[in-house]
Amino acid sequence: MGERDAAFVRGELARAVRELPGSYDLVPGAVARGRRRRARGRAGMAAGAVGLVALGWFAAPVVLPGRGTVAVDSSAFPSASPSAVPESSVEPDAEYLAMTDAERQRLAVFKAQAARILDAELPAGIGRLTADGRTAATYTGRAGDRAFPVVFYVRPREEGTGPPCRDSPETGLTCERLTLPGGIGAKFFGGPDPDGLTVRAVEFRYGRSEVRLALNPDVAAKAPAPVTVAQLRAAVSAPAFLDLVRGADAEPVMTEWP
Amino acid sequence: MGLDFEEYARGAQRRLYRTAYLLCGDPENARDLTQSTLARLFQYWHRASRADNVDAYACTVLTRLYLTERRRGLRTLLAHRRIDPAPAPERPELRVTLLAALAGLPPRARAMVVLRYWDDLSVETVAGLLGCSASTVKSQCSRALGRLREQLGEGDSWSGRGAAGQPRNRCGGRAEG
Repeated sequence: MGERDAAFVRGELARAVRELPGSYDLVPGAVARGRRRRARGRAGMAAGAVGLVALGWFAAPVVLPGRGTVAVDSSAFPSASPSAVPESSVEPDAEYLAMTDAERQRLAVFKAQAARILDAELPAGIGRLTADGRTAATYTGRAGDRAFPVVFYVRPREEGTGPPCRDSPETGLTCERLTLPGGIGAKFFGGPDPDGLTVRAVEFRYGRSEVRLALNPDVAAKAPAPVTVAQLRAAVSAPAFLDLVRGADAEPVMTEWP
Repeated sequence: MGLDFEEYARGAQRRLYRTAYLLCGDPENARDLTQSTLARLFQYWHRASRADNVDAYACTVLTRLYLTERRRGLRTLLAHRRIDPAPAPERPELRVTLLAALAGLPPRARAMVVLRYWDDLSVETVAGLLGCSASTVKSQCSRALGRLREQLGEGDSWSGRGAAGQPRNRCGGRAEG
């Protein structure tokens, strides 16, 4: 049975593709898209930490025009007073661009809720936290003339267990496993970015989702992320935050990590 | 000297496109998937170009993107929702039926069938690519072939034996040309 059926299927598959037109050249478009992906990847790493890069999976869509500056979409902060933070348009990230209008609307509602909750639960040092416009998962905390990029998302989890939770003396990365309310196991990461400034992040699984919250330093101001592990744990343990996560797990506003 | 991306991509794009078509079921989404694959390869070309088998690496990227897209549901990658309207000159009803039959398979099973019987990847390679065991690939492929047989009917192309005891395959072989 097997060989004959296999031969039949092979023949039919070959027949099915025989009529395909072959005149498309997809390479130029692929190179253009690939270049944009590379550029965003570099921008994300410039804003992140050595630990994040080493993990390879905190490469968040924080789009910065270059090291030492923070890109701000001023239209996202209509009430923001002039500050010393340089402002420029935020380029929409690829994930946001791939969304439909309906998905963007749902995401905007989610991000507004998330910003309110995180603003309330994160320590005062992170400043006023608002959602960045036209990005899938980024926010900014403003404290005086400092701006701290924040990444937060709840998305359907991928297969695999994620990065291991262990200290890395050579990079200065630390990881601590702590338990959140409801017995949720979480990994709390910390470590220096390329400028030696501390990044703090937490990752856990909830239902069918993976949840990540990462607080980045203000590189221009040479200010580390102003949060301790204990403060981060308190923030993600807050009932309002967990309710937000629960809702996003039940009705995802994002997809798996692209 | 490393392998040049554009040179590789121009040589590989048609093969990747055919695989994408069998996975997606329509040319438009197949082109999209193929270009996404090539863009991803470009992004990580420094790594991809050093793979032992760049073709297999590209196939891996394409398949994983396909399965991810299916789960995302962001695009209209409803498998085989649109059948290519241009009929084949011979046995058009059979070609359309095969694509429709593929559409009846779950995405991973469809990927296994395409990778095993179109791309001719080994059981072990498919297992590695899909993150499952070789025995899972074998059993899923066997079940998938069974389902394809059910949906395509008990035609003599499946079960027939010629007078000389050889299988009568009216869909391939000489008709292929």
